[in-house]
Amino acid sequence: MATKRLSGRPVNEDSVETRSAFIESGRKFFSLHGYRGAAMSSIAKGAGYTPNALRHHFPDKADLYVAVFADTVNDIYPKLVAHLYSETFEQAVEGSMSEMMKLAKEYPDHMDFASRAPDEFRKHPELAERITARDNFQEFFYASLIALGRRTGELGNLSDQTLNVFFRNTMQGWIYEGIYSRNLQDTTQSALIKLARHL
Amino acid sequence: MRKKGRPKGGDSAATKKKILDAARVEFAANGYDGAAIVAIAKSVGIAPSAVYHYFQSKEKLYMEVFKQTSVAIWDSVSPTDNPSTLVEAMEQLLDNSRLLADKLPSYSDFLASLPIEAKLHPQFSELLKQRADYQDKTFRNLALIGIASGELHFLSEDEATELIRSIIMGWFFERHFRQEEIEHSGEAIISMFKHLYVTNSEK
Repeated sequence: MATKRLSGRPVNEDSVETRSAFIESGRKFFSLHGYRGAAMSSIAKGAGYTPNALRHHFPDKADLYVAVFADTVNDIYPKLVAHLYSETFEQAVEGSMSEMMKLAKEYPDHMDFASRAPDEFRKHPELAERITARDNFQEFFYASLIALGRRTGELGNLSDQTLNVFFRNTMQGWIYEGIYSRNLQDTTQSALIKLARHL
Repeated sequence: MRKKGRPKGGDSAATKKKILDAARVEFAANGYDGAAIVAIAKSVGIAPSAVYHYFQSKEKLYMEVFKQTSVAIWDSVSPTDNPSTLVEAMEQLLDNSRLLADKLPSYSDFLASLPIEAKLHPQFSELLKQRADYQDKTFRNLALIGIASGELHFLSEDEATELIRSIIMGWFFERHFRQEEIEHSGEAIISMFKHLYVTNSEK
């Protein structure tokens, strides 16, 4: 009988730590090679475990992707939400956009993964079905941002819907373009702040 | 029986165009890695080796599709009848883009995926520069219209260019990801510029 255990979940392994190693490695490989191109065996190897150990935690690639998504937005969303407590609309726009630039520097894998996710959802509807957090967050974030500007009286007489969709489109477009081209600049930020002052 | 190579007596310009059209659809649907030359050849009705006769590799084929698609897109979406305000220019650009996306979905889908492909495949990073050039020309032109009309008089040329880039690319990407527009998103852009025109054009 073999005494050496070569595959499967290692004995006495701290399973929380193992799980987060898989998530870290998954985020890197999904960002680098896309959902289709990332191989479970490479993700396991990247984390320093066997493919069987990975399958023990995440039976298929979709399970892992969903877990990486949840972990990624858990790190990002609260940092953005904090800026909704700013005193003015202008400060909230400036603060949340600065936060995104900071995140792009400090957590490049997170931001790459998050900005690629909508394209993966388009290509793989089976993933989109399992993830509704993104749309819910966007709706909540931009509705709260506009509500703040209404309270402070900074937003003139445009309808809430127009303001909401306009700022959402523009800030999302800025982040997609900036992350995709590896050049997230603060020019759109200063333009949006000046625009808000001229409403 | 001749099975391989360039088809005898074929019209080579027409075949080339058919290959490019089929390749655009295949790349848009399956991405660069997932696209198969065999599938492209099959949809044109030629042997895979004939595809290689015209385009030496999948990489060269992708680059050629990019070139053709970019020219076609930017020519057909850019505002044509010299708009004097951003309201008019944006209305034209959004209408043209919607028309194109509905009529030729593979053009928009192909171009939307390019930045992601360029990240996965560094050999396409040169295409990103060309993409930026196409964008810059159109967006800077729009920025100058907005500054002159007063709609964006409070911004520098660079700020206006980047703002317009973010607005249009946000609209474009969200539409691409969902395969439909976020409700009211085109109208919101137009309402915003109408409002800016009324409030700022006299100043």
